[in-house]
Amino acid sequence: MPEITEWRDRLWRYRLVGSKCLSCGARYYPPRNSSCIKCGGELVDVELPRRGKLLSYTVIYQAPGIYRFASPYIVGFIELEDGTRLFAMLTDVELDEVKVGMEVEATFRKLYTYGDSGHIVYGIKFRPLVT
Amino acid sequence: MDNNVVVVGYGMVRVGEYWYKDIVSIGVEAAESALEAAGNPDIDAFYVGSALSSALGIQGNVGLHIADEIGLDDFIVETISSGGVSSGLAFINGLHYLASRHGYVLVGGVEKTSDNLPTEVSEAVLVDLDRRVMKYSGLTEAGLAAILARLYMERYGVDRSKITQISVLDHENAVDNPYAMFRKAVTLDMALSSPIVADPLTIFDVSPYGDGAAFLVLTTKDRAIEDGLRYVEVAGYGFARNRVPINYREDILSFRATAKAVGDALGSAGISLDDLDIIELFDSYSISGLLALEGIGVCESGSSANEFSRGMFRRGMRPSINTFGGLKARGYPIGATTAYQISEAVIRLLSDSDDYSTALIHSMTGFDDEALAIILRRGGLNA
Repeated sequence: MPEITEWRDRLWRYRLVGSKCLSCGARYYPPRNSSCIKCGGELVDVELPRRGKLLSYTVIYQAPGIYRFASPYIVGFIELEDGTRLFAMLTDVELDEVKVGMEVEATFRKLYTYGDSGHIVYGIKFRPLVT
Repeated sequence: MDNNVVVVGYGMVRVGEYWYKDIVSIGVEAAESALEAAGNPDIDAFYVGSALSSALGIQGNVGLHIADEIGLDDFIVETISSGGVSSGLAFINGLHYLASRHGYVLVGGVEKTSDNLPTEVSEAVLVDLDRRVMKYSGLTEAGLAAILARLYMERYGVDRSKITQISVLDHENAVDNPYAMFRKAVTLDMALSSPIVADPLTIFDVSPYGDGAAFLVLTTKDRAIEDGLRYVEVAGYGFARNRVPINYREDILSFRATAKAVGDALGSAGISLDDLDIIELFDSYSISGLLALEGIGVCESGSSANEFSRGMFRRGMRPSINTFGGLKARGYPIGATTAYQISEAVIRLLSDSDDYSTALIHSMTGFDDEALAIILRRGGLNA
């Protein structure tokens, strides 16, 4: 049952939840299982800020099977307002509109569908910040 | 290190697509040629790296099957699956074996990528990176390389075209390598105008997977001298890991595992960077090679692309880089790659016509996720 892994990860994926160190404040996304890498401190779950800026990006032309329907698509390397860095697909933006440094915000979207079961996997993508 | 372990033989098959041969037969071919080069000694241990043979469902526990075919009985056989350093770890296991015992050890790796669709191979490689990070973002390994490349270009003001010069050098160096997958020189214009894999990287920034097998015979220095064999000394090694997933790192352009592994290797060999004649660099992507070279410390951060564009690192220069074509042109037989890198350095160090005496082999998984550095030195009986 491959869908079980997506189901297990659903809450942190839906809510953009990471880990926060109670001692030094370091943040991790996806959440870590054990202790803080930097200081060994205890980690708790925390909802991360939904805004950030684009540090780098790529346009994927050779996509894995589950994402082939979406190719070409853009994946960004994003720094959130609290400094947490993550990778996420960009949406609601044309290829020629993407610029390093642009402000982006999280949005809840469909990621992909499982072939046989039709099971839909949702998650977070980022779009240009609407001001 | 006390210079106790030496390489006394190597064997390779040309990296490529062997439609008519299976994984065991190419493994046997390379292993037998390594044994023959070492005078067919009795083997006491056999360590085989293979990153994907189990994952792709080709042949699990592949070391056992090769051992049986070459008629090796009653000794340790171990198959190691650790991505791009699989055969490098097989080599390290051989060193460890010989640290406490005498005799001969056969180490190396084998990979078969042409029995599956290219997309199946890419996805099997992807599984070695953080599943959650890659799957929920749609990122591929090449896509991650592309993100690193764009960040590098932005931060250091490097022109796009300079990123790919390392691949052009690889192709130049593979022209006379009988074991290379691609033996054709290319121009930078050709490389830049080829199909895009993940913007801004084209197929010339991405090293090609291929079938391959490479093995080395190791023994102790005393034994090699006793048996009258030519040898190359293993002068030192180091191994280090970086944080995974990669977005946990303070700076994703800093290959600190490579820096640590190379520093340890140089330290155990008692030499410095200036002593290196050859560097075999793990350039699975053009940008990976550039960042690794900066991690090693040969170039300042942000300057390696410019150095390649200035025409540095060609054969005969110090250091010479990827003297037989690197991963881009020799090919990237994933779990067998380090054994090719080592074999290529051994050829250079045994050669009477080449003026090389010290080589660094740099190998890694992912993007500095794990880094392995090995120092080899020209040995005795070279007349």
